[in-house]
Amino acid sequence: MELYNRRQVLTGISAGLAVAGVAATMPAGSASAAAAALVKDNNAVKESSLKDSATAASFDGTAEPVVAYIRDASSGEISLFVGSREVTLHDSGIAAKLASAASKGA
Amino acid sequence: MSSHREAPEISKDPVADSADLYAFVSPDRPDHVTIIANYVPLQGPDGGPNFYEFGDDVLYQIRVDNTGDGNADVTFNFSFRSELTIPSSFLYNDGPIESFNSPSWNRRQFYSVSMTSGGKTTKLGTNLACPPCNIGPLSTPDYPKLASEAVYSLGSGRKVFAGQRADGFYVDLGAIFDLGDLRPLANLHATFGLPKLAAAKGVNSTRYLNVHSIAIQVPITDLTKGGVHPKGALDPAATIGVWTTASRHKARVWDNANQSYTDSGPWVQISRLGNPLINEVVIPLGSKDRWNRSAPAGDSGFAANYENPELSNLLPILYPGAFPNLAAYNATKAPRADIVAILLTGIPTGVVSPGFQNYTGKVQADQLRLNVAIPPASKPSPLGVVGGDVAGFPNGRRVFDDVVTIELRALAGATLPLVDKSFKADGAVSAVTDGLDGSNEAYLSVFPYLGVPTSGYEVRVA
Repeated sequence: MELYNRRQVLTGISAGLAVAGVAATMPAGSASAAAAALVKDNNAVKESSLKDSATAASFDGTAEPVVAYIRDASSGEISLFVGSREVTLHDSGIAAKLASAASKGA
Repeated sequence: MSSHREAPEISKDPVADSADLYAFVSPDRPDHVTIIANYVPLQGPDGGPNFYEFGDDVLYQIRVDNTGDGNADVTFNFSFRSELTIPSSFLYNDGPIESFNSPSWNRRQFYSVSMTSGGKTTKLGTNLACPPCNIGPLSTPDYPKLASEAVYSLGSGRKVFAGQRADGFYVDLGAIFDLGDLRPLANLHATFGLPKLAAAKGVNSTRYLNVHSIAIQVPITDLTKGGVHPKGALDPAATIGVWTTASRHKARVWDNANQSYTDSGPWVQISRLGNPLINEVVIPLGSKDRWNRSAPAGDSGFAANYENPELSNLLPILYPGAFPNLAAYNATKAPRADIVAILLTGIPTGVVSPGFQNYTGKVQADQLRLNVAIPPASKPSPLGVVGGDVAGFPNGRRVFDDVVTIELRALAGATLPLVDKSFKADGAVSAVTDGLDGSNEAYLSVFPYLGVPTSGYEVRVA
């Protein structure tokens, strides 16, 4: 497992990658959280929301999909699955934004 | 299928479900070891039109420990891909498949194999074809010849085969899982107050069922520490520990746009198999999924299940009066050092006979241990070491070894006197069996040794 900070994830690592899916689970009590999936084609949350919080240039690649998994948004830990790798990002801001978006998309 | 559908999670994922593992010194090439890992258990041969295949999304591995630390030193990796040649047809084939070049063969599978050793991965073969499943006399008219095309030489004396085979394992599943009601001993069963059953011959549950086998035959020196050829059976370098694993990517998302799954993330192990029947009858239900996901190096965490096997405690209850000595031993709560040695550490020198050992050290790890310096038996016994044949289970495992009877007798106390001279095995131990005689499809005398699969057309009732 690789550990990266927010800047590395938004620039170096994600360059050349397309975010095809972001799966998020929420803390207990958030009824909609377990099934929340921010996938392009379900309109739960538009990709532009992610671009707002990151940078548009970060997600313009096409090589491999990325799946994000947030086990507990309050911890700020986000697991990114890409190819045969897992990248762990610690960013409570992004985690909270995704959790919030997931709740709205329910 | 000594480990088929043995845990809650893997029972829902048959392509990744390791069913049997064999490892033995090849009888026709004694300088080579053959390892066979079976997956996709309990195949009804007529299960078309989507006949059986390996998982394209599964990483299959055969692992070998030659240093006794419970970790793999040599790993063989297998990855598969499938393709359609006639996507407009619903049929597996639209005419006889007489060769691998047949245009009638629609659904095909190919694989790559590599070997990881000393931190280096070497590609051994790519785009190797699996044979079709055995459909019937019109679709696969000369199946033995067709399947023989799928035995590939990989150079340096190595051979490989991946595809459908007749299951070689024989077991009376119906009896064993009906509260241990072994048919030959049914008249002695407690029956929980229900009417007594008559003693009868066993019923072979896996006869006429098929599996998918990954078989590889390699020089002994591919597997031993330092690539040495052991000097003799007592050479510590002579024993290797073998197990197989299946893994999936950590994340899976259904991609509606592409109408396919997207798998990503690191491979995570979801199935493993070393010794037969362990996750089936030794590991308790609440721990089986965890056992499948863990590595042999951590098996000391499961040692209590081997030290006091549930089945050993049940036998005197299920067969009242038949196992008084075992019942008395069980009452002491003393750990079964014989079972721990057979399954977790190997058997030290001198325990069975002066010239035999397959001990790998103190690290407890569930591995199929094979002393590669012991030559194939000229007159093999299906009861292996228990039957006086040290070339058989639990020194490795051959395709015909009666591992059900061997393990039942060991659990009933047959092997306890090896480590506790004061213990006398009960007279009933030698009668313990599920009552089968290896009546599966004929084994082959050459690689890949498991028999020709039963065809769908010729499917029979056991």
